[in-house]
Amino acid sequence: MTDHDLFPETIETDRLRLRKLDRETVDTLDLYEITGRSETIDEETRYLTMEPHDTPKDARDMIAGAAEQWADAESAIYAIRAQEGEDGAGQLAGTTNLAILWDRREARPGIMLRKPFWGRGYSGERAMALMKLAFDRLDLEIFSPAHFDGNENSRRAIEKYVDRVGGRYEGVLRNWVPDGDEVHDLHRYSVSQEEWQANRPEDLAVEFIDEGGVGSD
Amino acid sequence: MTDDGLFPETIETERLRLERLDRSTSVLEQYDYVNVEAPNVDEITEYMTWSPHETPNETREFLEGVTEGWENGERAEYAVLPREGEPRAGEYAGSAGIGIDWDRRTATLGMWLRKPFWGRGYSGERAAALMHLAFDRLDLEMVAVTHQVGNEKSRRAIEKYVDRFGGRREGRFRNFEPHLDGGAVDSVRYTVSREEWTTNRPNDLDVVFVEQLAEDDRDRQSGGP
Repeated sequence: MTDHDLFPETIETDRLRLRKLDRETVDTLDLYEITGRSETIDEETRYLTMEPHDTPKDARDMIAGAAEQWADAESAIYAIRAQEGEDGAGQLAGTTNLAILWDRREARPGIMLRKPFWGRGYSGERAMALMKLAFDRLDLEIFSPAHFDGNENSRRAIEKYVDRVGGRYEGVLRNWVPDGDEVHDLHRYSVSQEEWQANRPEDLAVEFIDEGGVGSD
Repeated sequence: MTDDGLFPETIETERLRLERLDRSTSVLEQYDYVNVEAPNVDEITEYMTWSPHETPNETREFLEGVTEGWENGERAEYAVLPREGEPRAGEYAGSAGIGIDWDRRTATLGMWLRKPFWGRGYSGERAAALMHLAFDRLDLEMVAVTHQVGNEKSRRAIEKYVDRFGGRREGRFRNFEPHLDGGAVDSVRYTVSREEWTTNRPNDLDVVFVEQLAEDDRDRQSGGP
């Protein structure tokens, strides 16, 4: 299947390698190990809309759904792995996505990171890469990360990288995210294209690798 | 025409009568108020997410969309008519809508008024009536309203009634609403929760929901505005 080339298949940063989540790159059962069987999955998804997987079928459906959203250019979903030299290098460290709302010229990032990889600044490093994708490649106007009330880890991570590139905290949207019987409030931040261009790190080490390109497998 | 009982056909407040807009509304009459040459239409739509209509077919499509929204239980749109005793009583003053996001248990309000009807406090009066509808009839948890950044008139009107009902300004959100002509606009969003409403609703709230007329409701019709 030939896909559009809006999203790079692989993104490399200093310490991370993001690879398009699909059947060729991620084994369904490997994904299930971290999204279903893992003992830390409840904690890892506590403040996410993602539910822990009950069966390997859920993991399979996630991969199938990712392919569809990728093909429709609605969301780019990547498996996260740490690069050589990092603790747990090569292991599946989590998943991240960039959802695109084309009519709003907006990109919304999301991440699920396994607990052993917390506290290393991976979220910020990945966010810089996704901002580069949203602004420099997809020509969008707004990058808008968000977190639920009480998610202090995400709050700190987001505040840090949003501040670094000159973005801002916008406010809390009440009753914004339906989740089963509940509707969560959402704290939203944004970085504009102008802010990104004015404040982007000069030494940003992000490489997009397209299929068939130099770095392809 | 269907009536599943979610939305009242007519809502009466102290000074206003809100009447359901749908495909039985005259397209041409409606077009008179929203076409590119209607009085003050550029000023009226400056901070709206729609532009003046270039053809009556746009107006027809608007009314079709409104009708569909009603039939799906997702949107009610009303013509705003000042009642007897008000200047220009019975004239079409603008329209007021309520959109329901059932998953979010949230109603979002919207309104525009023709210029002769600005400055009379109609916006707040209509908001109280639609909050009554959202919370007390539709059992929703939240009522939201937004205005575009720069729309000072709406800001003042909204701040006033949101404050009165104990709600809050949530923030300024960038690229929050797509414009029908393309692109997206920055918005300031406000919400009032059910708890806030219950605590602060006016004791003397004067709102009557008038249902679609059944045989034995005839006398109510003749009671009129």
